Amino acid sequence: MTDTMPTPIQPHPTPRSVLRRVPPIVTVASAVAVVLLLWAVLVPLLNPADATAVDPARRFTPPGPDALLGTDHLGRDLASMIAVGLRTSILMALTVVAVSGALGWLVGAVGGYVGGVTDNVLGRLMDVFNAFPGIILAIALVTVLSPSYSALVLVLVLVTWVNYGRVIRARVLSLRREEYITASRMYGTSLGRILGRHVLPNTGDLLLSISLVQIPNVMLAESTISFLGFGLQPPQVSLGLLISSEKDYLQTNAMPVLVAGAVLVLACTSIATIGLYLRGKER
Amino acid sequence: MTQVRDETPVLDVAGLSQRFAGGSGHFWAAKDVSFQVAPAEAVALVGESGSGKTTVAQAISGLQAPTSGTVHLAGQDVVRLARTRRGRRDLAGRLQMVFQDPYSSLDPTKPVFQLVEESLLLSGLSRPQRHERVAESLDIVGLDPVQHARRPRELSGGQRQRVGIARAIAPRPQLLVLDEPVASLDVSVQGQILQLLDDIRTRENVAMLVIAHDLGVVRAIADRTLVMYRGSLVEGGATPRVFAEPAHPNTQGLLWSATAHGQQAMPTAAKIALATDAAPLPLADTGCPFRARCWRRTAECDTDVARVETEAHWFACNHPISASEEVADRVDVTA
Amino acid sequence: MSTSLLEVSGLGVTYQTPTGPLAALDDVRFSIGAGESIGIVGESGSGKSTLALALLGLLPTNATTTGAVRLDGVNLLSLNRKELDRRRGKDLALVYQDALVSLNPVRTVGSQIAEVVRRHIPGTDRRAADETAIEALRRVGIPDPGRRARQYAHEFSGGMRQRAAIAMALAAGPRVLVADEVTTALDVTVKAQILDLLDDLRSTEGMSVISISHDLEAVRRITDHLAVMYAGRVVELGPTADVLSASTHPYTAALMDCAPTITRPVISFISGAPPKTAAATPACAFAARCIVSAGREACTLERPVLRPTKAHVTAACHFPLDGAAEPRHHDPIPVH
Repeated sequence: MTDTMPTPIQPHPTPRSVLRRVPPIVTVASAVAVVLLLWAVLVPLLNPADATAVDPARRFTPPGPDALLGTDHLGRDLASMIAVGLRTSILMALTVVAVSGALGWLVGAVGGYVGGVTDNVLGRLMDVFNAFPGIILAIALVTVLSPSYSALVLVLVLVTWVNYGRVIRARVLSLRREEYITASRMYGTSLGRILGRHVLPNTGDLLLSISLVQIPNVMLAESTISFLGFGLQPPQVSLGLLISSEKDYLQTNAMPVLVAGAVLVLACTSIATIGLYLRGKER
Repeated sequence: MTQVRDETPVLDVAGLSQRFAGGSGHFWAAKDVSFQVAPAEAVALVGESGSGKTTVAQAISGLQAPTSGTVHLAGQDVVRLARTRRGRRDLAGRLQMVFQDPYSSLDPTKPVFQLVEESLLLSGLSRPQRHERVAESLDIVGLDPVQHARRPRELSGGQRQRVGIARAIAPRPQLLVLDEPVASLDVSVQGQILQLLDDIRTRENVAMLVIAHDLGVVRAIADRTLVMYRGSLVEGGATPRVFAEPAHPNTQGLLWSATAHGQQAMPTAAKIALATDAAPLPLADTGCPFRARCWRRTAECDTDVARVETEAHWFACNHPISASEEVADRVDVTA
Repeated sequence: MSTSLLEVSGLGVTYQTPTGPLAALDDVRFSIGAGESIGIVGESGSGKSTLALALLGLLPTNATTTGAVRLDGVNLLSLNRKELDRRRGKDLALVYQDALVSLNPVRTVGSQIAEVVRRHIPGTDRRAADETAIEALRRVGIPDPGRRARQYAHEFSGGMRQRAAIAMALAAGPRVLVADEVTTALDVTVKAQILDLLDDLRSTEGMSVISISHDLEAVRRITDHLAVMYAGRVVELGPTADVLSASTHPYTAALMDCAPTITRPVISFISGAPPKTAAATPACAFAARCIVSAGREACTLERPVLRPTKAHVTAACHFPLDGAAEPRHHDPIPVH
């Protein structure tokens, strides 16, 4: 390319230039998220297999070479407990977001694209789900279903999918007026193909940014419900359960509650910060 | 340009009408529109916004079924074809559209090669055959292989419109419907696309229906011109003839307005009449659709309109401007 | 120069973008006297829209400006926001391409115009402002202005809406009207009427009009001076008739040939596409597309500056055309 090229094509932003324009708060949030992720993945690998096993002899061990952050009232290694709790949290959040994202996308995209009666029915359905306060609905449902991992996932999906559905529907309403969709329709392309080939790629950015906001929501909801005793049950490990079981010893040994609480707050705020930043950039 | 008359037309539109419900009753979006397009002929449909050009284009491409009337594409009923997916695929092999906005007509997430391939996906061609035709189409529109992997936002407006044209000609259609193909391009680039369309017409032997509001563009590329007003065709004929000797006051008004010179030459009576607004045409109206803005109207225009047909030229007007009449600026147009 | 009302000198605008600074205007200069009109023509990327925003002090915050825009000797670029707000509407007014954008859909057209009047003419009571608004609608040729003033923008047709937008711009009696592509979205007959209106207003109100457009035919009608822009710079400047009848810059000449008209139905074009920004290289931005340049060294080594090419006309070109005043296109080559 010479300097006199008539159409200078705008260069793609290089990774470095992308980094330069990211606000510091987002950089910090990303660093925190990475550290927590490494914690969740690496700490259990470094520790002996039974670090989360109950060992009354070791209860309330102070932080030291033996247990990095000390132990809880059952003698379990706190660092490992938090790592496992984080894993549970993250895995559940990813599962919930994947399932509710798929469900919400399908309902929103079909409603928005097809329009008419279909859209009316699906729109009403979303209104109904949207009208309930999420966490109360979730608790009510999970007690009916009897608390278990899969019941909790199902319930969280039910309160999350609407967040995808409404936003995707709004985007698809304007997408379907794009002429490339009209062109595609003219070629006799089926509904499924149009949704897959054109609508999905053009809503990918939304799926990502909604998910980054929903992941911390789901993590918080899971912890809350587990803390209240309606969610995961021992011997499953979760940050909410950990806080719940250690809260009785808050005055004598605050370490487990403080650390677990801090980790939960940091994880949620860091991911939410990244998510909100990405969402703001779309506008 | 008229020797093709006796062949079977590529496009045969007969009595096409489309109603719509407005704020205060029902109106005609298109009323009794009939015309034909011969193989490899370029026909322009001109008119102001709201004249029904887009309604006609949508009916022809099977995007919206008309209230009444028929559209035949190479002898096949378009309305019936458009009802089934199989029929639509069949239709896509015969008719393709080029859209006005080269931004909204290309999926921003797809590279050029895939964008063009889309019009062939359901054609029944094998993958290698498809790829060969896509490469060929891109070559015809003058996009070299360097561009094949680029996405729309990396292309200039003119290049994007070339992609849209490549996509439309890939299935070797018999008719291209072009909706304002150069209206959103830079002036210095418009000619490139017009030239390309002219080349494609001869090279691919494809007929074209061009919807445009720019009379200069129409004059440069169309064999025949049809003028639409409030849903009705009001004049039609060989382009040089219509432009040199417009008979319908609407056509004359458009021509006057198109140049600085014409605007100054326009008689005051016409200026005043044209300054009123056009409202949609009510279903029950039988008079001349143009009468509210016409400076030549009489009482009979309220109820009837005469249709005059001569060779290579027709118009629907009770008081046509005759060729011998002294009309300002007319000499300039024919010069 | 001393008689000029608005004087733009050495105006440069650079946008700070994530990928680095992007020059939109470079060393733009022209002036306009009271009651005069100038057309600014150019294609996408020529910087004409940025120029409109710069004149009105409406540039986004990531833009940095150099040079000066002087109205009656006061540099508008050096005013603070408050002073600028006071001048905008009163001294300088803008009409956009899309009238729907400038009119609020939920308020009556009359009340919006009255608000402009009250803002700029302090002490006007409500009734007087309403009357001024109706009078403004009458001046732009809207029939039955008293009734129309009580209607909403959506009840107006495209042409009437554009008239109403112009009435709003005129309400406070500005001395300079900036018309940014005001006829682009309109039908050809309506376009002719709006052009007539702008021309009438200039002669009856003694207002200066700056018409920014890509449409040479439209600009030719209503301006006495013309500035042709390419890649962020003015490349040819002079009386409209002189510039268009025998252009001395190869770009203007080629552009004139490009638009097929009903009297000259010839397809022609300039190869390549206009650059998206002002070029940062020390070359003529048009060199790559220029027939006259044809690879001459001077065009790629040195950026040409505006200099006289014929009487009253200046052009930025190393090898200007002779611009002899013979009529162009006297021998049209029809395609059919």
